[in-house]
Amino acid sequence: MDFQRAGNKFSCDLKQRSLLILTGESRYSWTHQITARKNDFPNGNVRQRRNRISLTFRRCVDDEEEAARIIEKNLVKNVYDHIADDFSASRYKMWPLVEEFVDKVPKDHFVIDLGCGNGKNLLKIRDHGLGLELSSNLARICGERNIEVSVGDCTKTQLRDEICDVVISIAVLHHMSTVKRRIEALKEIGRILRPGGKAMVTSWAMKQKSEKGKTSNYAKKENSEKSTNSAHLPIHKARTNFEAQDVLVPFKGSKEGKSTDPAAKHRFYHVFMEGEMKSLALAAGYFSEIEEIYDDGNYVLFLRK
Amino acid sequence: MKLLTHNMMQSHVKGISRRFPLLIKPETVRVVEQEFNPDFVRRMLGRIEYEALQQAMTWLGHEGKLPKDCPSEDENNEDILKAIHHALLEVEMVEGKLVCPESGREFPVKNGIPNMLLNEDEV
Repeated sequence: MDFQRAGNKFSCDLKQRSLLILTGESRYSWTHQITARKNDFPNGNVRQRRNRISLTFRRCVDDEEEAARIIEKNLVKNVYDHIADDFSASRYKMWPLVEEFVDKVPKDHFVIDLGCGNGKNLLKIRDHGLGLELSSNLARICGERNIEVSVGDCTKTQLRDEICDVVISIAVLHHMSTVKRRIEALKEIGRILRPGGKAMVTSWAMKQKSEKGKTSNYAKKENSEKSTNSAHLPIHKARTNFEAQDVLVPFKGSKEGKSTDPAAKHRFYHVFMEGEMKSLALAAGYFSEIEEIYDDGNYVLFLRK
Repeated sequence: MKLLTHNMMQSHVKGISRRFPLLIKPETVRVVEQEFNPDFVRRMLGRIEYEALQQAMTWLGHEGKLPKDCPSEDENNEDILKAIHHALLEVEMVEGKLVCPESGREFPVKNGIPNMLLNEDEV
């Protein structure tokens, strides 16, 4: 059996009836294969190959909620923990629409950023804001930038009722893997906002082209390539249109970061159809005003409690 | 973790009724000067639980630095507002634990960041 990680190769003569278990990070970082050849050469001897059987064990999950937890742990939290530094280096600019929204918030209003990533949207808010982030490595980066942050899950936060004036949740809702969890996340926003408080929620849109035919900055080319993985989710190819609403999106990152196994960087995304976020916000209750707009490959919700 | 943050949080463990305030077990505390914004302090006075803020200051070894009674939202005395500003934004727990007042569940605080994630069986 041959193992490979970031240019390191390692061959191992597995004894008959032996079992080899890859655990933890090794499951992602090492690839393994049985090279196709007729003979092996253990300790300088020639040995003809006979039948070899490889069994891969996987656990199937029936329960939707358990499946959602596993998807979001393995394909959202763990991936962001893994790519945190590279991801942060590529996310330094505020999206203009978010900046416009944040700039209008009075300096005595309290802002909570649910899923704050590396804290780029809190840099201007500073003392009158608080971030919540699922990935502890991204939260660490916030801390290093002197941004007030806690590690938490935005569908079940530790925040008190009606504690803040403004909530932003930018590019977070598309990482929730079930309708129920998307609604829970919106309900949490409603619960922590004071009456009259405002929220801005953005997510990726399935549609990467506007009506005028202008392609979003993200999807410049259309050369979709179909590929699937063990989770039976299509793997999205950068700068193409989405082929399904539930997809895995690889994180490319910087050149130095490219050496490790790309499978460790697949993030789960649910990309939205027009009006979908709006109907979820209606289902969440709490909101007296709900507006949805499309902007550059994203749907944006503006909510008022 | 600033005490404003502490004041905004509660225990989110399922099946309990007493959620607030989270008890503080500090290991490292620091004071970092922050820009004073009286309007913000006044606004937060209407939102925070004042007793819990006093209690938190005591836990962090800064007792007796706040006025006994909660000032009103139109408080104009700058010394009073500055004392509250100091408690809300300048006294921070760097290392330690937050503890659920009912279940005793502990949440670690490391490098100033509370980890409030619950396990599957706690939600």
